[in-house]
Order: sequence, then structure tokens, then C-alpha cells
Amino acid sequence: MIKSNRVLIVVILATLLLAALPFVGLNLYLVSFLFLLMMNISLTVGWNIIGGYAGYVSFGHVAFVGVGGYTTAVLLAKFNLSPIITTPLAGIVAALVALVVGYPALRLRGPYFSLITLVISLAIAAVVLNIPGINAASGIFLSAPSGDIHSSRLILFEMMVVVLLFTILCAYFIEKSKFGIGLKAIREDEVVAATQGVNTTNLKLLAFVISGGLAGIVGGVFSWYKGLVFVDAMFSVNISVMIVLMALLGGTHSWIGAVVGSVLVMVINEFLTLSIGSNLSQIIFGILLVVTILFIPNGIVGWIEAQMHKFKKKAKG
Amino acid sequence: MVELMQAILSGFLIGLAYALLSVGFSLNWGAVGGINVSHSAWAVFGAYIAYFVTSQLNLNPLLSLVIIIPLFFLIGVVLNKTLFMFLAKRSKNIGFSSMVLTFGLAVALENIMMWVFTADPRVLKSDFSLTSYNLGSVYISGGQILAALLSIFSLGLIFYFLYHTYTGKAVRAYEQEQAGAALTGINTGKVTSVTTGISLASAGVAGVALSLLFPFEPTIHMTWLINIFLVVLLGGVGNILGTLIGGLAVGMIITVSGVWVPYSLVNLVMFVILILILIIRKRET
Repeated sequence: MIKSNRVLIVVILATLLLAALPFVGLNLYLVSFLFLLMMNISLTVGWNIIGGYAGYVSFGHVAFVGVGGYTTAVLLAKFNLSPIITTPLAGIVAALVALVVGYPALRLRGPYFSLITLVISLAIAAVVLNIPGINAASGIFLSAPSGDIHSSRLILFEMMVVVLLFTILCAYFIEKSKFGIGLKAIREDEVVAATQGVNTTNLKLLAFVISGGLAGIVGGVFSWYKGLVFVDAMFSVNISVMIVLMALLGGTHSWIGAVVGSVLVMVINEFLTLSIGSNLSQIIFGILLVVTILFIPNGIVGWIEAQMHKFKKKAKG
Repeated sequence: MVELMQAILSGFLIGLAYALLSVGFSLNWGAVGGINVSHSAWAVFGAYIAYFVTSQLNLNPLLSLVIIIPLFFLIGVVLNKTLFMFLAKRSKNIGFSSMVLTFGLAVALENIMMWVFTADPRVLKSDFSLTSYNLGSVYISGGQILAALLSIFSLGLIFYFLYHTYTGKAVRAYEQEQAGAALTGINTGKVTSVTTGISLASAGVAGVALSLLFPFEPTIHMTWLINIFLVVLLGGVGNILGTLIGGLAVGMIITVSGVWVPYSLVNLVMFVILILILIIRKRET
């Protein structure tokens, strides 16, 4: 127990430090970069609840980001409700959508599940584009949180810090709980898990709903950050794919892997894009992905754990 | 009524090209177990080769096949001997890890094409592809005829290979039972290499066919890939005849529903059909 409390304290201290960063004079570029970094960490950690713990690799998580984003966008544009209040609502709407689509989709396994989630995200994007009265095709304009760009970015930044902390705490407690152990049992062997009395259907669905809800919350903040909301951007397949890559690179068995993967991908991507241009950096990125899946299929954290395990074995004799 | 006839005809012709695009993907998934999401990116590369053969050398786009078929077959064999076989040895979950690996390939290939060929949309222009023929009240373009003939011919060739040659039968045997095929003396390394080679070669040919039908640019491979998914899941993984039917169905659903509903809803119609089919056929998974 002492050890797990220590992890919690580190997480909370790190979050406080992160929250204080913009006040010590970071420029606008770094604040924006950190915002996107936190957004991707939140998405990946949230995705990992169904994709990593339960092993149901969703390629359509952007659907929930988009649904959450459009919830806050419509509420702000039509009813002038601030996303600070409505972001939790975005999460609830996304969770409801996850409940409706998850029930049939989770009956499929392996690549079929990945494909159906991908298609569902495309279908939801097409539905949102055709909802009458919200002008999705021409884009929704959202007024900024504040007249001044610095304080606008600051408000959004602090909102994302809260979302990030909430997501990590969710993942942390799920990982430690009986629920999390049930999910891991599903990942290892679903049939055996079911015969051992794990209610696999409900567990998977709950994990999918939580995961989708968390993505919806992130989307709620993201659409405000965007300012002008388009279906193509909010439902971009790229976001779904990036989430999977980040989780895979870091390792999907714990939330720490998701954090490590997102930080690495975001930093490497930003560095390469700035130094050698977008195309070349994407080429290197693609090759990096090939190398990752070939040589460290369990991700960086999984690889480090395996090395430590070997080391301990050697030390014992 | 004329509009509907026209939609059915173009849907049929486009559907043939989609079937050819999907057949290699389906074969690879069914026989080797690898889900090659870079399949459509290679098809786009094939389309570029056809484009440059036509625009730079002023030759018939079909002559590009002389380069494309051996080159793509070779690329497929090399990819199998290096990446895929290595992955198959190390991975427990080949379906998922091959998706990730080939996605990396697709991203790299897309950006190499973006870099070399630029992001400008290209349209293959040759004498016959721009002339259109009048069949009673409906019209058909030379490009459509050529693409359809190319697709039918290639599909027929693949069908003949799989059902009437020793290697083709070995591929099908391997698809049904990998260990059993190995036990009867089938060289499994050769079978998987031939399968990926044919799969990629068919992607290249399909790229030529699609370049005769649509304008293209490096990023279009994502759209083509989604069409492949639709066709393969409709037709059944590894099922050649199913792929043909699936391709025709997708082509016709796109064009025929386009007669009544706006384009954004056409996609929705297709996605809903696909989701329903996936759920109904879940026992196969």
C-alpha cells in the first residue's frame, strides 16, 4: 500500500508542477505544445482502459472526441453555456454513444473489432455532418474563453491539466481494482475468464463506456481550443491512429506506458517536423513504427520491465 | 430511369476495379493472416507509374504494367522474406501486429510519394480515356471500359492461378490449414511469398485501373483502404468470388444510392450496411 500511495503523491505533485508551468513565463508556443501533449496523454491513457487492459484495440476513438467536442460546441454556440461547465456533459454524451455502439461492437474480436470501431467513427462523423440546425458543414465558431490570447490559452491549459489528472486517476484506480483484473483476464483469454466467473460482457462494456466518456471530456476541451470546429478535424482518423501508436510504443499494460508513449511520440514528432520538415519526419515516423512492432512489441515500458525481470533473475542466481 | 441505368452501369464498372483492388488484400489476410493496410498505398504508387508512363512517355497507360507487375511482385516477395516472416515468428497476434507494421509502411510510402510527386491531384489523360461512348441512352467513358476490362482479366488470372495451378492450390491449402499444408510437403515459405507477391502485384494493377477512373493524390490511399475494408468484409475474408460480389455491391451502392441521397449520406448508408453485416456474421470471427 505504501508503494501505491507514493505513486499517487508523485502523480499529484507532477500535476501541480505542470499547472504552475505557464506562470513561470513559458511562451505561447510551449503552452500550446504542452496543451496538445496533455491532450494526447489523456486520450491514450483513457483509450488504454479498453485497448490495453482488455485488449480490445479500438481504431475509432476519435468518434468520442468528436461527439464530446460537438456537445460543448453546440452548447456554447447556441445556448452560450461555457465549456468549463459543459465539459463533463460532453463526457456523459460520449459515454452514452459508447454504450449504444459498444454493445454490438464488443461482440466482435481482434481485427474485426478494430475495423468496426473505425467504420463506426466514420459513420458517426457522417451523422454529425447531417444533423440539421447545427451547421456542421460550414463549421461552428466558438468565442474564445477570454479576449486576450494569453489568458485564453491559460484557461484551456489549466482545464486540460484537470482533465489529465482525472484521466490518470481513473486509469490508476481501475488498474488496481478487481474490475481492472477482470479486464486483464479478458485480454489474456476471454473464454477462460468467462468460465472463471468474470462477467466479460458487462466488464468490456463498462470499460468501453468509461474510455469513451474520458475521450469525450478531452474532446470537449479540444473543440474550444480549436475555436472553429469542423467535422473533418474533430473526427480525423489520424487522431484514432495516433492514439493506438502512442499506446503501442509505450506499452499497453499500464497507464505509465501510455504516458511514456505519448510523450515520446509527441516530442519526437515535433522535433523532427521542426528540424527536417513534415514529410521527412513522417517517413522516419513510419519506419520507427515498423521497428517498434518488430523489436519491442510490448512497448518501451514492457521491454524495460522484461529487462529488469531478467536482471533480478540473474542477481538471484 | 435513365439516371438509374447510368448509375447501375458506372457502379458495375467501378465495382470491378474495387474488386481487383481488394482481392489481394483479402487473399493475404485469408492465407497468410497478415492484414496489409499499406495495400492501397502501393496501389496509389502503381497509379503514379501509369500516370508518368502516359504523361511523360506518351505511351498507353497499360504499358506501365510491364514495369508494375514484376516490380510489385518482387517488392511483395522481399517484404514477406524480410518484415512479414520475421514478424510472424515473433508475434503472438499476427492480425494486429501486421496492421501496425504495414500502417508504418503506408505512412512512410505516402510521405515519400508526397515528397517526390508532390500533393497535386493528378488526372490520367489519354486519347481514349476522355472519349465517351453512347450506348442507347447511357454513356460510358473509354477509361471506364479499359479499367473494367483490365480488372476482369486480372481477376480471371488470379482465379485461374488459385484453382488450376499447383502453387495456387497450395496457397488455398495453406489458407485452410497451415500445419496440415506443411505436413503434406508444401513449402510454406514459398507459398506466403507468392501470396504477398501476387497480392501486391494485383494492388499495382488495380492502381492503374483506378487511375483511369478517378483523379488521385498520395493521401487518397486512406479512402481506397476504407473501400477495401467494405468490399472484403462484405465478401468474406479470403473469398475470391465473395470479393468480386462485394466489389460490385460497393460500387453499385455508392453510385445507385447517389441517385437519391446526397453524397455524405451515401457513405452513411454503406457504413450502416457494413456494421450490420459485421454483427450478423460475427460467428465467422
